Amino acid sequence: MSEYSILIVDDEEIVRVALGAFLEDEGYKISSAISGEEALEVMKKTSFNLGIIDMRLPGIDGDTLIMKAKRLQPDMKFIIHTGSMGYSISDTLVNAGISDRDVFKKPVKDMKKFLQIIRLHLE
Amino acid sequence: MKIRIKLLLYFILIAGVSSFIAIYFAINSISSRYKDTAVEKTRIIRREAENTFSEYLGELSRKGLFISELGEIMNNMKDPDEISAALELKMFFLSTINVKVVDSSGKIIAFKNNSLPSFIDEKILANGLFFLKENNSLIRRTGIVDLDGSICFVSVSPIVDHDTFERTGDLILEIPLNSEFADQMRNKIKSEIVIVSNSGKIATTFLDPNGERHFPEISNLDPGSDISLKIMGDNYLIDSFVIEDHNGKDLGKVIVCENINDIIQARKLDIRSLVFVFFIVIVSVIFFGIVIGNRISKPILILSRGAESISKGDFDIKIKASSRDEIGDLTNIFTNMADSLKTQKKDMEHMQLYLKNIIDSMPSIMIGVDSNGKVTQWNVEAEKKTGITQDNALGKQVGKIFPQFEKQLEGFRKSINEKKPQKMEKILEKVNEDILYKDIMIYPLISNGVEGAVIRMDDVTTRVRIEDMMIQTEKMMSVGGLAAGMAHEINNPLGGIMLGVQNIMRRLSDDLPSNIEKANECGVDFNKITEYLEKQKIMYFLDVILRSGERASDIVTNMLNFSRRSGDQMIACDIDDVLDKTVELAANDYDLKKKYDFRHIEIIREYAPNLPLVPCVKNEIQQVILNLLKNSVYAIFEEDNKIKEPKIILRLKRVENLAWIEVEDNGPGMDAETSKRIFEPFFTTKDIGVGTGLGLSVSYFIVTNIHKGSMYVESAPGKGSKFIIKLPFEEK
Repeated sequence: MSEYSILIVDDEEIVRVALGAFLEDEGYKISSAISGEEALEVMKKTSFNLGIIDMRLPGIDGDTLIMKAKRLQPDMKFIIHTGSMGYSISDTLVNAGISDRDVFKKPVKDMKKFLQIIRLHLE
Repeated sequence: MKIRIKLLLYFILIAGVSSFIAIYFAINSISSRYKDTAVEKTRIIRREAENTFSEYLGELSRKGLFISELGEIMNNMKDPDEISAALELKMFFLSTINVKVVDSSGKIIAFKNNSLPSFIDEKILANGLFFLKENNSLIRRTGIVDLDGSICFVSVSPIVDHDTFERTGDLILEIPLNSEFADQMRNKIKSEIVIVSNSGKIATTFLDPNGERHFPEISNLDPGSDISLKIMGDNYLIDSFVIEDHNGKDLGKVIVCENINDIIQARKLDIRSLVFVFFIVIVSVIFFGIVIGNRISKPILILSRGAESISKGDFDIKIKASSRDEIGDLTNIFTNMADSLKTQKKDMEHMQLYLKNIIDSMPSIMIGVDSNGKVTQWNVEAEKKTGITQDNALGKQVGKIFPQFEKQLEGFRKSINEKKPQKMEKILEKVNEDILYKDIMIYPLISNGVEGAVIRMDDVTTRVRIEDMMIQTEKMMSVGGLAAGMAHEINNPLGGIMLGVQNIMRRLSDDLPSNIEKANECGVDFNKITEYLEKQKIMYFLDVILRSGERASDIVTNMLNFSRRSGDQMIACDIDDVLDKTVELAANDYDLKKKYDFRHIEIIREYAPNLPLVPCVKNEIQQVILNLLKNSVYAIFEEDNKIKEPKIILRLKRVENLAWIEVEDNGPGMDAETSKRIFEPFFTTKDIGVGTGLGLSVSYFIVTNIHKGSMYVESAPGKGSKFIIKLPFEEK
């Protein structure tokens, strides 16, 4: 099985660490960034198959990040992982091929569903 | 007294008095005219009588001359027989006259008495009659003499010897003024005569019915005075003249009695005609008085009848003016007045009805009371709410109808006296089991002179409940607002915690081959680790952490719902479909499937066909329905309950412009207290940890605030619960 690389962008350290550990256990190669700017820096050097993006970030927000990332790596897929309960997906993101099923709200009670979506995107 | 009678009396009074006065004077004048006429006539007759008297004297004198100068007498003085014969021959000439011839010695030598009484005798002659003593006198004398109370015309003519021219004797002619004489005079002057001497009555022409002479009583007899007398039933006016002798001595009186019966009769006739005229006047006055009185009083009477009927409340009178005078004007004015009164009354009645309608249409109890607290006004709502009809309530003490007012009566009086309104809000009242809230307002009547108050009572139970609910909702809204800000901050660490826990749990499970590898690398037998974990219940604690995290997350999620206004677009939905989908969701719900036997509950669908679409946020309504289904399931399978044929009825119907969604179960139901508080946030009947106490309050919020619908519950212990949601249909 080829190694898929996933970029986690979240300003909350425990989320980065815990989610990273969870996905590493699943055999994915994990990188993480604390902000959108850092993520874009990383993306210039490394290519990723999937990004798990928090929406509320210091600096540029998740929406902007995804749109910029799409320009850097058009094949990259995205999952939205947000703590905003009232979040609903914006039209720009829908146009970028992201749908409701790709949105996960924190806290994710059952990671199985999360995994299903990740696998769906990668395989 | 009636006007026409008054008028009549006035007419009679005026006409009566004036015509009476006129007639009185007319009668007086007629009387005096007649009297004058009578007096004049009597006077004329008296003069005539006087003349007659003189004529008698003259005639006596002439006859004396004639007889005394008869040759047979002058030459036969010595032969009385010759003289008597001569006298006899001349008797035709001397009727009613006593004739005596005396000689110079005064001895009667011949006489002729003509069957008349004669008062002259030799004795009187001896005493000297007039002048008889003066024997040498040749002068003939005639006059009236009183002979012992009898009055006679006497003429003494000297008989002169033809040759010697010496007086040989005297011829004495005598007419006694007796009744026969009077008769003669009466025949001449056509009037009754009475002659009196100084010593008594001597002649009368009056005859009593027996044919005897009658002397009337004539007492006061002043010469020239006009005296009327009644003599033997006839009326006479009398006049008199004095009988004087030749010396001017008063001998007596001749009284002329003129019968004035005719005059009196004529006067009477005249007066009668006058009186007749008077009566004619009075009768015509009465007649015209009645006619005029009627003409004046009849329209007044009609007016007064009209006024009477108006006073009785009948304004429907039509009176035509019968004349163009003031009464006609009055009638017109009156008719107009009646018309305008009628209009005003109609307006007033209309206004009264309108006001009553307003008062009756009010959803409040409106009671009017006087200063003693007696009911003067009672509206329909009061009838409805108390079951006491207006007729029964009026006049009763308000405290007796509302025993709870007994305490407030002092307040009423105070309010009325001080003219200050009073408001008592949310007065608690227990009716059977229910608690009702009432607002009681007392408005004193402010019009001067009217003492009393209006009591207004509103059942504000629903409002109070809604207010309470609003307060709760507001509370939750602010909680929601706070939560929205906090949710992200909470959810991020919460996410970390839950990811962490799930990581730990995964890394402790033998599902991952890498776990065993890593344990081996550390020189630990993975089985030992598992054994340790089991012994120390580590997995249990981790699971509790995970569940607690989930609960915290749920609470944050629910609280956030309060702050959401229009997160999702309202879409016109088919509610049938929404309900069916929700039942599907419920059937697949983990909790419902595992913990409760949802499949054993009979789901009955009673959907009205062809309902219009309802605009809603589909998943929110689903959330609400699911919540209700969960509650029902929970209630049905509550530990102590053994519902034999558990069922849930989903009902969908249309009532006016609202879609009614009913979720009814045959569970144990709730008591009133629970029903009331069921929508309160954090109110829960479930065990701690089972429910957040937010489900129904969020549902309530979704229905009422987001969807502008309403939601309530009907339930009673043992009777199941029925939740009713009303949502407005799509506006067309």
